[in-house]
Amino acid sequence: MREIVEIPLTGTNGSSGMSGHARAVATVHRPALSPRSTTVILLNAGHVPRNGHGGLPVNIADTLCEQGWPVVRVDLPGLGDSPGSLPERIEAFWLDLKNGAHASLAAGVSDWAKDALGKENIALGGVCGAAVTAVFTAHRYPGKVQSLLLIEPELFESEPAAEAEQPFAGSSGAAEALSAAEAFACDCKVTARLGPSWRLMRLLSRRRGKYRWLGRLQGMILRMVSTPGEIPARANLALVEAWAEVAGRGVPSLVMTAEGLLWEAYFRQSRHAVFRGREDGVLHIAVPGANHVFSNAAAKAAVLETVPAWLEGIQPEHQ
Amino acid sequence: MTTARPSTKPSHPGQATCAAAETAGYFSILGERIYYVIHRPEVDARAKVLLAGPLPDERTHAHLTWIRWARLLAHRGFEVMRFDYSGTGESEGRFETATLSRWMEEVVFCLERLGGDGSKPVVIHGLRMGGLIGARAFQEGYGDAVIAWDPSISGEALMIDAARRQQAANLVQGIAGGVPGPRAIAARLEQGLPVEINGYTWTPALWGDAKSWKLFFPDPKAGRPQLRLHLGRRAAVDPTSSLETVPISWPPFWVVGHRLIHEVDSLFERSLRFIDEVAMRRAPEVS
Repeated sequence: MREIVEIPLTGTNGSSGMSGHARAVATVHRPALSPRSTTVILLNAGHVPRNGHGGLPVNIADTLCEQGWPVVRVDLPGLGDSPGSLPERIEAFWLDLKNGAHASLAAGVSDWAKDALGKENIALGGVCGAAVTAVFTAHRYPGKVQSLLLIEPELFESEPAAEAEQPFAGSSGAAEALSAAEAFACDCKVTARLGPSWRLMRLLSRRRGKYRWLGRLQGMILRMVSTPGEIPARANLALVEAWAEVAGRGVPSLVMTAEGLLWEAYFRQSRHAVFRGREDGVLHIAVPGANHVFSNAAAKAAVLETVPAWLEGIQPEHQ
Repeated sequence: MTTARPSTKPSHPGQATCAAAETAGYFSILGERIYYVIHRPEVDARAKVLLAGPLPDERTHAHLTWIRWARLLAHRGFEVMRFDYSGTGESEGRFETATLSRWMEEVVFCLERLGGDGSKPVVIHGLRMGGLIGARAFQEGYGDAVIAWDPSISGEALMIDAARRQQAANLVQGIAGGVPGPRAIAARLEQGLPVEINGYTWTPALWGDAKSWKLFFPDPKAGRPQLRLHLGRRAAVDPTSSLETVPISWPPFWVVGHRLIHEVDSLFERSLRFIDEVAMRRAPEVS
């Protein structure tokens, strides 16, 4: 049974102007019988409403709910049905999102869900931007997220406005970025390669540039120009750092990527660079034929089959 | 669920976020729970507006602008209801059982719920597919006025358009398994086979029903208020059809673009003027 709720939140969503008290509209899928110990929270896939692309979050929620997991699909302030302000352009919104600006709001949703639904564990995630916020939330608020559901996490910088902030190799900024990358809280040392391929990846990773028409070629090019074992150029270092800390801490993650796309290439290379094959608690499923927003039939089928099994597997003692 | 809203005067129509209250919930219609939101003004409503939205993949991108419009209307003293068609958005039900005719029944149901005792004029406002459905509901006698923003000219054109977007998206991402074009999709549906488009399964029943839908407005000489707006890059009026083109930022707000806050001030102002006229026309009768 679905019900509509309103979640009071305190926090900020970055430069968009929302700060202080806010409200988020959410849909709760509440099972009739719920022996599970985990509530699943699905965040907005970027700026789209909580029902997502092709209704995937609704499909996930209905499927999990039938099997006893409560699910909360939430519109963070300003998005979907929730009141709040937003920047005029998508690039500005993404810059905030990729700096983890929505993490405090997601943490508030986690608090609310624990109180309202009475489950001790939270699995947080969603598609693309939702996965980015979920990682930052787990990193900054460790007690509020017990597992991560990351579909097509965007581990790279993608917007032109970020270019001014991204250091080139050899600049003092590059040294700072490397230093930050090396200061990870886990025992996994990470270094970032900011070499000649940075300019190429800057072009390839733009969400709205003409190079997006390269499709799966983007992933192939990244694999060709990157050095194995190093974080690829133009990676979102703060996000990779956050993810490395969380995974290094043993927080279980399910990562699903569209096989061959740029998101997968960044994830694979970053994971390899950070953990070099060591156990990281991550179950990675690359889905052939999936599109980036995971709305097509191949993507949906894989998600609806994998997510319940993964949840069952990570906390069997609580089921 | 009812949400109280702070009353803040917008600096221009595009920034309105100030409905007095928003109530969200579910109606039961024909065995399905349909998600709706009512935006109530802080004052006694001058008229009521039912928003009939676009196809679900266009809803994804149009949502922010559609809600800004709903909140602006509430701020200007109109009661607004918006809802999601069964099997889409927040509504329950399966898309696989949907047809435009079924969705029209939901529009009619919502119109009757919104209209209440009939003391206030009711405007049907449709976007894209909602314009097609809203125009037919109006033609069949529902509502006191109709607005259509860029209505689809037919059910078939609507679905072909969606199929083209899917084809383009698949080409961009190099999805394996081929990229069927609109003709191949239509042929498959004609053969009685379902097709997946933008995350939704189109059935032959949906296709067959859609083909019977053509955009049709009543004769304006009959005196029932109607406003059909084409949305484009520049303002224009077609002298042969009197069809107005209202400028908006491009690409339009129902497809992927660069903007979260679209430039739609001209569109909002033109539409508000029309709804104001409808409310004023009815006001003497009410008093």
